Amino acid sequence: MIQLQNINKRYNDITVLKDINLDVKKGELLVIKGVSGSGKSTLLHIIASFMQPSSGAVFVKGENIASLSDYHAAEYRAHTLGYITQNFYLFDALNVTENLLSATLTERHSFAEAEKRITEALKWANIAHKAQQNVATLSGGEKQRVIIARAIINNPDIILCDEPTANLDSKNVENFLEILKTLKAEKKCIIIATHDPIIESAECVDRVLELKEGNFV
Amino acid sequence: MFAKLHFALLLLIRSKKKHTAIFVIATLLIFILASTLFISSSIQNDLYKTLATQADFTLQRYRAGHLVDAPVEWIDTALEIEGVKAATGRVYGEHYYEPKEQHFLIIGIDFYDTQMHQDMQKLLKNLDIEEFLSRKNMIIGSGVKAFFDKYHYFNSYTFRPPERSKEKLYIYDTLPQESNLFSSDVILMDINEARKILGIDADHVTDIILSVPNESERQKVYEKLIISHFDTRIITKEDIKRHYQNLFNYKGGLFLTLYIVTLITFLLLLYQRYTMVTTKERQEIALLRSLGWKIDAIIWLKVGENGIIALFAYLFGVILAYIYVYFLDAPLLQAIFLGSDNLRTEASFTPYVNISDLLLLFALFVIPFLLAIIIPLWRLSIEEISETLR
Repeated sequence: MIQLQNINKRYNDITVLKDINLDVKKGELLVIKGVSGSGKSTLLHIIASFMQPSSGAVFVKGENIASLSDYHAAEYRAHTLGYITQNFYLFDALNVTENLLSATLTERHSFAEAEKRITEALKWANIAHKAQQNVATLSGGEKQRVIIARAIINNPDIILCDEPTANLDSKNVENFLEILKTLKAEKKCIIIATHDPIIESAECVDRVLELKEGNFV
Repeated sequence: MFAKLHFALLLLIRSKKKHTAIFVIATLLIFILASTLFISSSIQNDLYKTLATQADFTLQRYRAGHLVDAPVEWIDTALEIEGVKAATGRVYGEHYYEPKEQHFLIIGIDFYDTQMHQDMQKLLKNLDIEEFLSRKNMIIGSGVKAFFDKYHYFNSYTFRPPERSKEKLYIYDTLPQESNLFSSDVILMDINEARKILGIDADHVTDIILSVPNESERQKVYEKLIISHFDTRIITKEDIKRHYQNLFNYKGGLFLTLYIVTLITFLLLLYQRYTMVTTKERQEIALLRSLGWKIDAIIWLKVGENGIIALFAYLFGVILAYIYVYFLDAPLLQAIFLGSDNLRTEASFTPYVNISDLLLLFALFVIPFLLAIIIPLWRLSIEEISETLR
């Protein structure tokens, strides 16, 4: 599903990623661990096409997404990718349903179709009871569920999670693990960047790689 | 398309506070410019209507640089010129109400003169001249009416002619709204009454108006009038029109210059506001891109969001300006356009809306408004997402 070939990323004189090579299969749940500043988020951002690598190629379903134009990169993010962040990036002024609407608008859905997808995603993430509540008033765990619902609303093949449990309490971490199991059962390709030992040691995790000073050890 | 517009509306409605200041300033700017346009259009419209009934030439007598009364014989001299169809002597002058430092313009009308008779019938359709002349009556402009009412001259007013007598005239009627701007301070009365009040001799008139219906003969008539008496000044209808146009264009132009300076300042502020966009707004754009929104879709979303503000600001501004000018008679601005030293401040504007002016205003406001926002937003939209979403 995902193939990284000789990925390098430099910021001025600092090399963040050095010759990264990686293969992730469909239905695989990969955890990338490492201390803060080890390059985990940078790697996820490259896979998500949020940034371009300094050199190397990123093949997703056989297509090199590192050389995509803005237009095609947007298409890739809309159809193939679901991104879960550690910070709760949401439209604070909008309610839960309206936040999910923002993700459906990348497709040419009718209102009815968008509404159907939103309802299903909310049920799936177990946050339907807060559908009309303003996201600014939700707890951290609830916000996380909204972000998960938004990430899966277009039924993407790849789910990227950047420190997903950093702002969650232990109960919500457990809930998150349950969600991961479901996603895995749906054959999603999941990559989680984390330094949370609970996630690393979770049963559903297929592989754990450690990133240190820009390379896997 | 509609779903995105719906989303733009949602963002707009839920983040009202963020846009309130821009909306208020934009509405205010449109209000000021639309008020200026409404006032100018109304004045011009009234001016053209009034000028349509004006004489082709006005003959005045000048001595030592001062306007003096002209002898009535000049009327006959003028009538002898080929092409002059009618010549009428006019008697008019200012009446000064010293306690309140107000000027009124007294105009004496010869109601037995055919041309005058017709003009008065045009102005006041139901005027019964016999009834009007049955006693000492006058017809007053709306400004005079308001002034008289304020000082309790409800039915009559007593003038003090120069020979120290008293002339009591009854208020017969008020001039119609259409002629308002140019007749607000006017008092119309029988020519003999006017002579008495203004102290003009029976064999003299203030000036003489001439009708030359054939346009091609006007230049020739003009030349003959010049040589007929060496102490005359001839004013054409075009001179009067040009005088008023210059006056209003000058005032309107001055005001528009100030407006343009303000508009540019506003747009610069707007540009600055979106250049120095907050972290939150930067995150919103990056978030949409991370969800798969294309750059053009984000720009259209912001155009929709701000376009709604601009459209509503425009509509609000224009409606408020209409109410301000045509219902409230444009306090403050009226003084700029009409002067505030006399009764003209009492004038009210006849509703007149020039659609092309409004469309021009729309184009001159909405397009720069959106451009001032789009350029910095576009620059923001092409930044790498990872710069913002960490």
